[in-house]
Amino acid sequence: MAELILKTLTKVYTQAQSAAVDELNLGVRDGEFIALLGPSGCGKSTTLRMVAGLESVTSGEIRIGNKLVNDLHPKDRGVGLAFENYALYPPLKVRDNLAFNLRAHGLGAKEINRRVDEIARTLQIQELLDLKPAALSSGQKQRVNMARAMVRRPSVLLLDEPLSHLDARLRVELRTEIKRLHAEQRFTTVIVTHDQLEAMALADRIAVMNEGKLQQFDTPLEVFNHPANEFVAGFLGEPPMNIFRTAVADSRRLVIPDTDFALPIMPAIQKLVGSRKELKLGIRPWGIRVSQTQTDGAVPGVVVVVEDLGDETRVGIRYGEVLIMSSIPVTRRYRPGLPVFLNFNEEDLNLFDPMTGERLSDGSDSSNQPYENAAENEIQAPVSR
Amino acid sequence: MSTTLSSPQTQPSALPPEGSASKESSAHARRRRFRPYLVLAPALILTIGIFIPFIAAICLSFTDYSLNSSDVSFIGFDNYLSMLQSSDFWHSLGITIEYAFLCTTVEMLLGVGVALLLNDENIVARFLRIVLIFPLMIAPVIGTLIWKLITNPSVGILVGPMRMIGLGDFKWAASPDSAMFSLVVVDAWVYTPFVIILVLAGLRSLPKSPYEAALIDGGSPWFVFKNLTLPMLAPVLLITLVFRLMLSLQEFSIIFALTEGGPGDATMSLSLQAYNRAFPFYGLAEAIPMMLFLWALVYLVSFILIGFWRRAQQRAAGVA
Repeated sequence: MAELILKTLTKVYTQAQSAAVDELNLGVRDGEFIALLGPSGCGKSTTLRMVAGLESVTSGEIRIGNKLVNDLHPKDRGVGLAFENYALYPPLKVRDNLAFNLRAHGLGAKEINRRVDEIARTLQIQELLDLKPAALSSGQKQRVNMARAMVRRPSVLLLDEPLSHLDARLRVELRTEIKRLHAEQRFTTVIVTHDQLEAMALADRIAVMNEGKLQQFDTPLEVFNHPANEFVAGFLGEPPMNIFRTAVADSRRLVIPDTDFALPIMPAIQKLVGSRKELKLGIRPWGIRVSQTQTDGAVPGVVVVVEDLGDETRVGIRYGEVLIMSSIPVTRRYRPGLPVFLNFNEEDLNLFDPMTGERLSDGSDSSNQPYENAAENEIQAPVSR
Repeated sequence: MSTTLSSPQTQPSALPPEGSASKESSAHARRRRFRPYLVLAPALILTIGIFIPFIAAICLSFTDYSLNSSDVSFIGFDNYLSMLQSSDFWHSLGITIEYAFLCTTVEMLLGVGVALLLNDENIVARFLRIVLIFPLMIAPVIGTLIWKLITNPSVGILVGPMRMIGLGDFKWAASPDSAMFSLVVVDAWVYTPFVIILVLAGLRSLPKSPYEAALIDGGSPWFVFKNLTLPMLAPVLLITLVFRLMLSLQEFSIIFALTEGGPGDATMSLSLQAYNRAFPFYGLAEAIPMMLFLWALVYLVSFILIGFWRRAQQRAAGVA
């Protein structure tokens, strides 16, 4: 177990014009669980493979336990990697798959057996030890894959999309298992995933990547509630955050031109708006309340789409090109065509620069404690589904 | 049961289901019915082409048929008995097995070794992988003649180097002591590329990801080869072994071109023994039992090895 530090880590493939990983800086504390999250092609797997030593480094540094490992052979880095496609050794029994690393490092037969049995117990694969990989289900293969990565007691445990090939139920089951294993073993762990729920549920901190660049590196709640930019805001959350362009009308209202949408600028965001003429407004569906009675500051609209999901109801209201989705407790009151009023929760409003996509911030975001607790309950709903 | 099968009601069921539809024209139905036989025809002709000489040969082996005499009489198992009693036959059988064993061993070891070296992405390996196919384009007889030239005592290019290492008077195929060695060298020279190509194809079709896992797991190249590559490659190795054993047990052209079975009968393999009996000495019927014996030997060896191959395939896939 050790800390992992990436310093201006860069990978450029010879054929490509832009860097696959672009000056990535990341510090993972000893025993911490972090997630590299991003869409496919964002460089997260490349980063992981560079740490493992399967991919060469173009420039920058990888340090494990304060030791520069850029030029070390993969086997000498002290990493364990659970592969996305399992990559088990087909001709070997599960027991020999697990023992491969220990044998290669010349451990005694007794010690090998003890360690293999121990890790098999931890991952509950004792009864699979004498089977060959072809006889295993994908869930079992993934358990063996992780056991093989952990049996060597790595300084850094790397998990490359470990759940992406499993069906939904198994995925949730194994996700809980990974969480339990980490709590038990405290390996410094990096998980690569494109599934935001997986990242939110597992990681102490999430590094969101896009096009080879780090977008934000923070705790799940911070990334979720205070996205650093429009990309992060749009990538996390299901249903996604409503993000749309608004114009500032006589410094008092945010409007979508040529529609009924006119939101009074509340005192809390007055400073952020400043003298801007235009900005992007972001609000999660849970931050919008829908009612049939007009209140102060409510925005009128007409329901165009209703989705009853059992544990919530999603209501869509259209303003020109923009469809604003709201997520509310289950109700059968709303039908398409019904006139309603939208109340925007002041604390849930995110403002982004329309040109750069960066979040507009006055630096007082993270002090809002009760708000974070409220948000936690909101994330739990989709996670447990 | 048999009456119902031949009854007219059941006849349409012998056709594919669409064929029984009344809308379809009878010409179309007829074409459908003949199609399987048309597809099978080439294989059938080929099989007949092999079986007729084979069966004719077996029939001839029970006679005293000779190429220089016109009357033929049935003599039962006499040809077989005299073969089993002849010391020439047992000598040739020994030579055949020795030759096949030596050639196959040398070619497999050399072929696997070179294939492992060439299974790499450097410029030399990339170049050699292409060049490898060239020796296979040369007929073994031509290859043998080239070797005869190379080792020719007056013009051969190998004479100089041999003299330098103190083997200037090495006799190659001209001495009974080194004739077999020379044959193995030529056979290996002609056929090792074949082994390399098959093994290389096998190596390159192995899954990549277990090797990445092995890279992180560590272990010496030998450890990875023994535990991972060898079991996964075993089916390809066994098939290559079957090919090489089958062909080297039957090898004729290289031996004929280099030594003609000599000096004396030092390299008189079964193929050459049978050939000599059949043609220079006209005893065709005497030669056939030897070829049948060789055929049975090749069949037996391949049968056993193919059994191993099946098991190796299951083991490589992790099924057994």
